[in-house]
Amino acid sequence: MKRLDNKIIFTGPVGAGKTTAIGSISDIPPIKTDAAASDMTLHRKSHTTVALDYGVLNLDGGAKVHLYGTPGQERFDFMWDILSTGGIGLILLLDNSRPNPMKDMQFFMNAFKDFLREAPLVIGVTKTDVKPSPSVKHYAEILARVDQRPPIFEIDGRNREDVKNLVMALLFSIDPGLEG
Amino acid sequence: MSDPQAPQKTINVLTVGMDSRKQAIFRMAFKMHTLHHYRLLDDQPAGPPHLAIFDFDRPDADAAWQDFRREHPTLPTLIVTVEAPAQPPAPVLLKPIRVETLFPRLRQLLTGGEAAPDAPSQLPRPGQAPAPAVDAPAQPAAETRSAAEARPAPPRPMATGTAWPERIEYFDPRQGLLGALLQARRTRTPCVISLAGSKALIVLPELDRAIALVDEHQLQAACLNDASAVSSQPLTAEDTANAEPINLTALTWQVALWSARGRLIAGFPDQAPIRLRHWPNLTRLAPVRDGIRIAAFWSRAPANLRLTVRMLGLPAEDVFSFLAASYSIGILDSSLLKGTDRTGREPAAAAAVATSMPAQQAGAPTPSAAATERTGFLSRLLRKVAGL
Ligand SMILES: Nc1nc2c(ncn2[C@@H]2O[C@H](COP(=O)(O)OP(=O)(O)O)[C@@H](O)[C@H]2O)c(=O)[nH]1
Ligand SMILES: [Mg+2]
Repeated sequence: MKRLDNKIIFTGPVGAGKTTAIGSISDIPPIKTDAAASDMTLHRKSHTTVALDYGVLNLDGGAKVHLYGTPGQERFDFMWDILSTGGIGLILLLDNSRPNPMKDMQFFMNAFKDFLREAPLVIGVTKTDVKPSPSVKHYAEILARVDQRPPIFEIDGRNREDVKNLVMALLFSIDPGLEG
Repeated sequence: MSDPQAPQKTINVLTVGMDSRKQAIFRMAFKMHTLHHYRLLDDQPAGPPHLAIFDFDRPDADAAWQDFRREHPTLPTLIVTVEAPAQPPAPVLLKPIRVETLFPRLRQLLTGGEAAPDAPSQLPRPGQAPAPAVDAPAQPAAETRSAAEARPAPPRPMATGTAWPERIEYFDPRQGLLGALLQARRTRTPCVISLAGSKALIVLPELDRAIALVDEHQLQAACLNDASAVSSQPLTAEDTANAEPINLTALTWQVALWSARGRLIAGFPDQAPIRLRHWPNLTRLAPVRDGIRIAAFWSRAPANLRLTVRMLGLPAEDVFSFLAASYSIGILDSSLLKGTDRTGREPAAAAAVATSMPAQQAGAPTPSAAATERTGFLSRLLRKVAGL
């Protein structure tokens, strides 16, 4: 039985709402987990585990979709190998109340650029209730200038509907004709 | 299943070296094609493959081809690639793939006919926006397809999806409350909009804010009546309000939906390629049924209205409403609309399939065959998430 790429990665700066977002759709309360060593590439073998947020969606017929939240930026150099082993897609959460969220966006898109060659990206901008600008339109226009058109929505990590919409946008980016 | 050549029988198509995104393109192309019933074997592994489509754009293409031929020594196979190898081991169809050439090729494969040599000079270069209509015959989509099949063109019910409406209802977005909002946004002029003589809305385009002086129902009622009296004056110092400002883009989107009510923007050419400059902020906008699906479709490649309705299998009314709202908040890529005439030249059927195969992916390592078995899995995930 071949392994399916059945994980969705949540990334973004600390405080962007990753753990909360995973919790709002997961079938279990989010837990800390150590990434499996088999996910690591060889040259990183010295760092065999790294703590990730973990949640799960149980599907009909017993299949699971694993939801992983990446740890803080400072641990980031360990991370991208784990995550470049395939997945359904990447959900990038940006905290609009941070000093330079536009720069955060560039950082994470760059860190995941190999992953994003094969999997779609969606962006959720959080904490617009705390700080409304920049607007999502502004992010979207900057991305469109470099010919990137990912789904990008204002979301609140605590709002399940918002997080659902991010995941559905991810799925329809893979296949707009996908039938449920 | 025993006679793959008979039209209307299902033809199982094996894809080799394609991830689910590339497969999705073929799936949608197959959906809109009714002469034969093509089906991706990965979707429903029923019976042996009748033909294969082999993506040659992978570093190990030659070795993969040998493996493939060992397993399927005689299976009729079409190679798809950005650049044809010098000595292709099977007929080649160059990317970007166009429906006009894809289906004739598949048919040739099935009947064992000689594949005509490709004419790369007529195809847009990979990564280049497909030149609208340059090489498309001047006839509507349905006829184009059938003509390419060298068959008469009886109107056929679609295998899946919904039919294009027999009668289309139009509305004029320049009229009424929507017209006043669009005018204010275009001229970036702060103004007060009145309904039947009384002030109803302060509009501050530069701030992307509006202040409603009446309740939502009154705004909606004004949209329901195409002929309602709406006027607009420049904002003066006397115009004040206590109400909370609301987001003007979200209001414009909502007013567009109230005004369109499933109708098409008057004069919008049904053959015009549509693409979004960027996604709308759907979590904070009034919902349109299947809005995420439509936005995803119009973000990946230009597609005209007929193709959108056909491929997504949605009621045309939902697509028209989404179009009206997207147009009103200014996210349609208008560069594509220029130069499209209304006689219905046919750029988009090709364009959607063509550019959906991103050229930059062509050289990337092709994911494992496991990735191609995912559709059922993704459907289950969609069902799960939608039901949360
Ligand atoms: N005000 C506000 N708080 C949010 C939003 N999204 C998440 N939060 C809160 O932000 C805090 C940090 O979220 P957390 O999920 O721990 O972020 P993480 O570091 O990315 O995992 C939590 O208290 C969340 O409840 C939002 O959109 N607005
Ligand atoms: Mg966390």
